[in-house]
Amino acid sequence: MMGWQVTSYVSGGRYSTAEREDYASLARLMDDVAADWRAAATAWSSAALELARDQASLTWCSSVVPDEGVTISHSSLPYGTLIQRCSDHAAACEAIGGELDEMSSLLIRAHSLYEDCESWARRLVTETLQMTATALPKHSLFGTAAAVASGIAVGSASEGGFNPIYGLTSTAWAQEGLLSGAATYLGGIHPGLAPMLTNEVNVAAGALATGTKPLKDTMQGDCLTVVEVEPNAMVVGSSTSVAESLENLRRLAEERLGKIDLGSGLSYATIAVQRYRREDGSSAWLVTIPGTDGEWDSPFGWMQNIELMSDDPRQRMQADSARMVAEAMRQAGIGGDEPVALIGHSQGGIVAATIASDLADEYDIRHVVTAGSPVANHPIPSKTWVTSIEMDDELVAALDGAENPRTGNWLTIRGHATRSVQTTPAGVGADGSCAPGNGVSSWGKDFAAAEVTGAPESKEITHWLKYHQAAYRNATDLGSPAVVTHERHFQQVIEGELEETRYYRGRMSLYGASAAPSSAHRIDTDAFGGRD
Amino acid sequence: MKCGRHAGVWITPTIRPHAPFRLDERGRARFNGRMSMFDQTSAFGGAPSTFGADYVCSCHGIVAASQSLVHARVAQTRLAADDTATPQARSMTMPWEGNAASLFRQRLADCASAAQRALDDAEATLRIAGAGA
Repeated sequence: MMGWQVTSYVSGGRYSTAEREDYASLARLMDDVAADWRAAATAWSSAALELARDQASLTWCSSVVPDEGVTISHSSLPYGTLIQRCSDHAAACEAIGGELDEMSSLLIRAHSLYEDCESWARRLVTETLQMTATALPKHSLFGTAAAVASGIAVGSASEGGFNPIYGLTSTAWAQEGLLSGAATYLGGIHPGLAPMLTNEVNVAAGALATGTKPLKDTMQGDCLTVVEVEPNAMVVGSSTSVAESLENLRRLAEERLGKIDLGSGLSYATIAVQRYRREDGSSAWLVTIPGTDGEWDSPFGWMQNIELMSDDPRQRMQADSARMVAEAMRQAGIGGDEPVALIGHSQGGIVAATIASDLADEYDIRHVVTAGSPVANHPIPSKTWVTSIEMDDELVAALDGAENPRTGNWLTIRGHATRSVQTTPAGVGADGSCAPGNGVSSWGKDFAAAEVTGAPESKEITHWLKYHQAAYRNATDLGSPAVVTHERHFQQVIEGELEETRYYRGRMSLYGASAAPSSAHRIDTDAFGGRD
Repeated sequence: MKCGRHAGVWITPTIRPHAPFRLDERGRARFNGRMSMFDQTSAFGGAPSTFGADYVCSCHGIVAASQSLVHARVAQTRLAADDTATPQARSMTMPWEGNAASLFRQRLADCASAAQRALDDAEATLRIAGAGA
């Protein structure tokens, strides 16, 4: 049975330059030694051929052919044995060279040694595509359509059935450039300025939001009600790491959409706020924010994404989802000097980045984790560490039209999904019988990739959290110092014992007539910058 | 390996770092089904045989060349094996930690062992070549 696996590439984060140079030097040395072994392999192969030729030459020797009575000495070698051994040596040398190459690649990937080159190449492609899309929009549209169509055709043929998701995969490399090109148009940005900017999408989103916000308010209303709800079962548990928090995020996201049933009774537009008690008695907070649910009265609808992507902080904080999370944080009693970590998926990640950017003076937001969120241009202050996990063909993360900043406080893990043999874990059946697994561990795969848990056989959109979880797992396995440092920072922020987990649900209404209990709090958007 | 001094036909391009050899047309013509004992050139072409005039079969030259070839390959393998120890030693002093780092160090150690085995095997081949004369 086939499944999917994710290979991760890390950029940004904190590195020691000296250490990095050491790793680069070791990688070069290993490449040299691998080249030596490959040369030896070629030489042994060549030797086998030459010995075969020598052996053929000896067939003319009179020690082989009856001589004519002249007594002379002859000599020979066990050529058959020697030729076989030369071939064996060639194979052994080739294997050692290949092994060294693989380990060198692992070292390079784990420490992002080609990060600068890759980043420049990506930026070059993005800016070139952006300029092309701006100068030749019709041609670009045709080219994009052709790339999508060919991707779908090839992918569907390989899978044996029509699957349009391959259109995203085939255009993954171009998505940021094409989107920023389209945004240059929509945002009314002068094409000459575009190559110097990275926030074209945010400018365009701001322009769009001026039209979509009234439309949304007319359809959905602008009255936000946030209430605390009690779950019937635990959904978001205690966490001590980014990986555990991602798993909690996935549980909450899937529970509220009914994709899993944990019996909690939680519905859409529900977030979790957890208080951790530190050893010194102070509190630390973790806010878990799922993504878009698209329900008609949800503050996490589709149109809120446009406001969240605006380059105008007032527009961002007027987005219903950002208002809801800010209100939940207020109701939970998060103090201005208490450390806070935010983790969000998709729109939840954009909300987290928005709050870290625009409520930086009100809260001590120390760490933000985003999964599949286009947040490259959000002005998150340097005091906040950002760990962004993105899949290269999920499209959503590319909606910012730019690469995330590669700074010490901003770490980006980019995942690339490939097909793999799906494994099943070993277990004990209900009757006590042992069910052997067929698992190939990440170790067995040389940490080339991490398996996506529960992935279907056919290609699906990689925006689902399970792909980001696999990407983070692979990055963690690599032991990149940048990932380790960010992980440690996140752990330090929420270090302590989980004291309480509170869930807050948001609903939109036209007239403010809400069925919320008395604890419900009507959000005044003016509190976050006011309306124009 | 010697290279023919007179015009001949290129017969074998090789990746091995030596000058290409040529088919010795003159020497081949003299074989006529047997190796020549008299005034022949090397079987590899080029300079006149040093042993032809001594009524010694040129198979000695071929065997010596084969042994020399194996010796050169073993020396090349020894150099590569010696170099393999360096990355392994350096990996032990790196601060890199985690699952992949453990795998990396173990696989480099495996590489070093494989390199030593390859060298041992190559030297055994050299002994076979030496004993077979």
